[in-house]
Amino acid sequence: MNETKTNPLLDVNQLNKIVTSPDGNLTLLDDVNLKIYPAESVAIVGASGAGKSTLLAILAGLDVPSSGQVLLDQAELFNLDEDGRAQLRGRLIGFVFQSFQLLPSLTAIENVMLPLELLNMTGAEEKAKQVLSRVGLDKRASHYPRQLSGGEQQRVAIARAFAVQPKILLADEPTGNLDMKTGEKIIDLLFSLNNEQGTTLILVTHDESLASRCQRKLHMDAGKLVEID
Amino acid sequence: MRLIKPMFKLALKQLKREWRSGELYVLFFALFVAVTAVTSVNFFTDRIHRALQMQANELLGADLVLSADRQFKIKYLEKAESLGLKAVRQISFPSMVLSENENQLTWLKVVDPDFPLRGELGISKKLFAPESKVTMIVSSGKVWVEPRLMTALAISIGDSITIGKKQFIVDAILTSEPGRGGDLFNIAPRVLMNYADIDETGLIQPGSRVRYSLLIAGEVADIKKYRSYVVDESDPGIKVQGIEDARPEIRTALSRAEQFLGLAALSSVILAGVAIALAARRFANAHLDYCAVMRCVGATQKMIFRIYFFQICFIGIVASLIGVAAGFIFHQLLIEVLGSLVGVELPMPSLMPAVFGAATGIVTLLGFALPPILALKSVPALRVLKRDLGEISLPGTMSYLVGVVALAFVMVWQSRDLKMGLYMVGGALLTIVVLAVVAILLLYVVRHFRHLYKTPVLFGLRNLIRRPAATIVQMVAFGLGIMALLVLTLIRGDLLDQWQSSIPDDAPNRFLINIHPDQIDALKRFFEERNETVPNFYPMVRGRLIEINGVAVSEETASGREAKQMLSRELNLSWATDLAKGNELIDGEWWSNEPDVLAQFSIEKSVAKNLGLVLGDTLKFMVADQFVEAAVTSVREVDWGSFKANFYVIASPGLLDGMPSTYMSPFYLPPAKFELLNSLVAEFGNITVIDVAAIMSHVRQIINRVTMAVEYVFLFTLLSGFMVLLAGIQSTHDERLLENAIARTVGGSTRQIYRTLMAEFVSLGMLSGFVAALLATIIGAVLAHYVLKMPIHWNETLWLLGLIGGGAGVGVVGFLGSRSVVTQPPMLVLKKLSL
Repeated sequence: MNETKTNPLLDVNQLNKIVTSPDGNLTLLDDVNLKIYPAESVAIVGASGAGKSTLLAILAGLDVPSSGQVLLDQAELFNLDEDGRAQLRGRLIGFVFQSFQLLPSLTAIENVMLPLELLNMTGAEEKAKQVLSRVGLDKRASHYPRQLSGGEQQRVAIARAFAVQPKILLADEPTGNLDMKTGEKIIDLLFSLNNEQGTTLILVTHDESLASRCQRKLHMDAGKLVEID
Repeated sequence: MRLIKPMFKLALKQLKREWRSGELYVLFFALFVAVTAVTSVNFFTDRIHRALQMQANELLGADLVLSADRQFKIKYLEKAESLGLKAVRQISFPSMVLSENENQLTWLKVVDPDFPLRGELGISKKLFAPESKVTMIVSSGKVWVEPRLMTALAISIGDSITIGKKQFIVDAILTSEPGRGGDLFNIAPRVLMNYADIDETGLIQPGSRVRYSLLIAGEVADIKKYRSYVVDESDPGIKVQGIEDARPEIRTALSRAEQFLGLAALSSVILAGVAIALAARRFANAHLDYCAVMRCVGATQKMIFRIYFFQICFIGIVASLIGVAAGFIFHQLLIEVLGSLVGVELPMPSLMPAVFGAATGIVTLLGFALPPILALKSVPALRVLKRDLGEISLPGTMSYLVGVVALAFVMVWQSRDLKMGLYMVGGALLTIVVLAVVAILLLYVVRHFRHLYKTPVLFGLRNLIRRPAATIVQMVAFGLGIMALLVLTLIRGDLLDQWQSSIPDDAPNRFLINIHPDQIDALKRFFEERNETVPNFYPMVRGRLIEINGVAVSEETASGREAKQMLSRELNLSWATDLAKGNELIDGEWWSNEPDVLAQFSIEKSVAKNLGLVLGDTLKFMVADQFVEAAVTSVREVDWGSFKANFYVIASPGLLDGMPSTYMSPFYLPPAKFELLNSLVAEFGNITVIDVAAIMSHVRQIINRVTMAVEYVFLFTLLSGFMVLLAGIQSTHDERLLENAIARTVGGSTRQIYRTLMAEFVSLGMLSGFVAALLATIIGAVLAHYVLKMPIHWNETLWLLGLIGGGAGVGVVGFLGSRSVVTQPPMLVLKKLSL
């Protein structure tokens, strides 16, 4: 515990994001500071337009801040170029999106294999089968996304995210496109896998009940991040 | 490097999926059509070139051929002998041949016994029987004749025919001979005769139009020495042809055909480029999210580029290879239509056409597909979270400049001539610009009058107006193909028909040539005795222009193609007292009728223009071994379409006295009086009768075959135009899907939507046909007025063909290509497109 407290997995310092709009400068993130430690589960809540997705994007290196620093596993994220950040993402970060974001021309197992193949991992297919089996879709491995229901697609997406055994899992409204019952099952699966692999979970959600399942809860409002007890 | 293999596997896997979804069909088939077009033309021209190179000896019948309009001096034969070379004399000229009931103009070839020096003669003893090769020529007293002469004269082997004053036995059918060439310039059937017999025929008189040749063969070094000797002798009347420049008339004609066929094929490549650009853009658009997800899960820009580059290259290679194979199959059609023009067996092609075809395909594909594909690597991963945060715009029109430049290089390469290539590039660009301008204007008119239309035409036209850029691109694409086909149809049919019918009914349809001066009175009596109109007789003296204003001139020193042609051969000079009908003085004065009028020349205006002559310039001609010189005192404009006897150079009376001359006489022979020719040829064996109608028919046949070949190639252009249409439909697929789903949701029936689609594509086709017909009409008018010198006339068939053909063709293909937007259930569409 002392080790995790002294070495955060994600260390964000004085992060700002300002964009230019027709009405002048728009501050999306305003002096955000954050430390997230390994195996923590963190929920970021807030109204639409508060800046949650912007923060998530920057934490994953998908976007570049106007100023500030992000250390990911002690590596200065924005000292790397676009490709360097992509490679780091591939190793360390898993994603689960609201709209699943499966590649329609790949089967379920091929979607899961994708990050493994990009990392040129041996035994990618075997690993993918194991993870698919874990999410209960081993019998649907050769099906295309259009042949799966919403819940099944999200399970494939979760399998893809966990296939590389990431240190961090970023989930952006993972149940946003699902009905309540399916959503609950998905969340259960997400937390279950998270516990098994000891992944750090950062979850963006409107859902208060989902947020309350996390160890920490942060509130985003007009670009400012505040921890809620 | 370690990532290449998994990237390749991933690329192939994705490609398989994409292919099954049909997304890549247009890209693939556009490329396939273009490569097939280019390759089929190039396989054909490659075989022609190889035939001309490999079989040049056979085209010549020797290693070197000297040609002249006069007999060769003995020194040339002696020189050949001294160098250890073999020499064969050959005389060729048109001559009438008589059987018991028929007469026929033939091309008589009289050769020494050692003919041919290269290649072999082929004969058969029966029509259509297999030929046998022989090494000895026909013996004295006998002739070998071409198959069509057997039919024309209704004779069999062993029958007797009359040539000049001598009778010959038809000993065999001549099936092949070296030096014959192809159908291009051989109008009259051939007769092969032994040199020993020529004097007895009495056909060759002073002034007769005869071609003398000396065929030489031997060791390369000795041939070179002999050639240098001939050149050093500087005899202006002698032309030398070696293997490398054998049959220049065939080479020139085929070079033109090759350039034009190549241009036609490349027009399909240009359209393929457009189709590929549209299809690749759509493909890239459809993969933006794809790439964003891959970036999210760890793919670098290089990886993304490699994956899509592999896919594009794979498609390019497969489409090109299949296109090359198809091109090889289809080139046989061109061989069928045009192969006999060369007259030698065509060898198998080299690999170069395949290489060029594949290279053209790859260059086109990369030039037009690479810009949007390249943009994919820049898709930000941020797009997965917020589309509006991760917008990317695909490259604009300027990014295709590389593709355009690459195509320009391909065109220059295809034409094998920088100047011609640049003309082709310029011509293609100009054509496209003109088509585009007309299309824009037409669309403006359509838009302006849209309040007049009723549904579904209104909805259909509205679809066209709403997407002006796409509509104009498609109109240009179709306009190009349809226009080319309409122009060719015009040339093959209307223009030639019109030209023929512009000839007066009683215009001369026969020309008598090689009339000896002593025969004129007898000929006049011949016509009088048969109550026929006695024709006019015009003197002809064969002379070669050797000096202008005292300065020696020759083909080598002349500038300009026409000038070189005039100085490379003997011209037909004549003399006259009065200015003939159909001749109009445009400069200077005609000579008076006084008996001692000064020596003068009157020249036709093209002679003045091509040789840069003005009044007062002196011209010196060599006639046989004599010389004649005089000043130019008038310039005439001649109505060459009158079919009367006209001459480029006319001398004042008395100037050409004492020079070897023959006479010619054009006259009209009514169809019912055909047998008069038999009597005429029987009585005057040396006179040659030229059948003008037969020549026009032969020329028309050649034009038909050539235009057929060009039409075949332009069909590929039309196919490429359809690819552009399908690519355009594909690029608006989602938009149409949504529009039609909403239309059906708010009450529109499937039938109404089908009618709207039909209206849209039929309108597009008709608009394209209109543009094509308009430009084809203009081109036809230019050809009629400036080339054929005929009045311009309106051809409504052209318009009907353009409008109906365009409407039907584009309507059907467009409708079939877009039908799927109606067959999907609306709810499914709305759900799918709202994600």
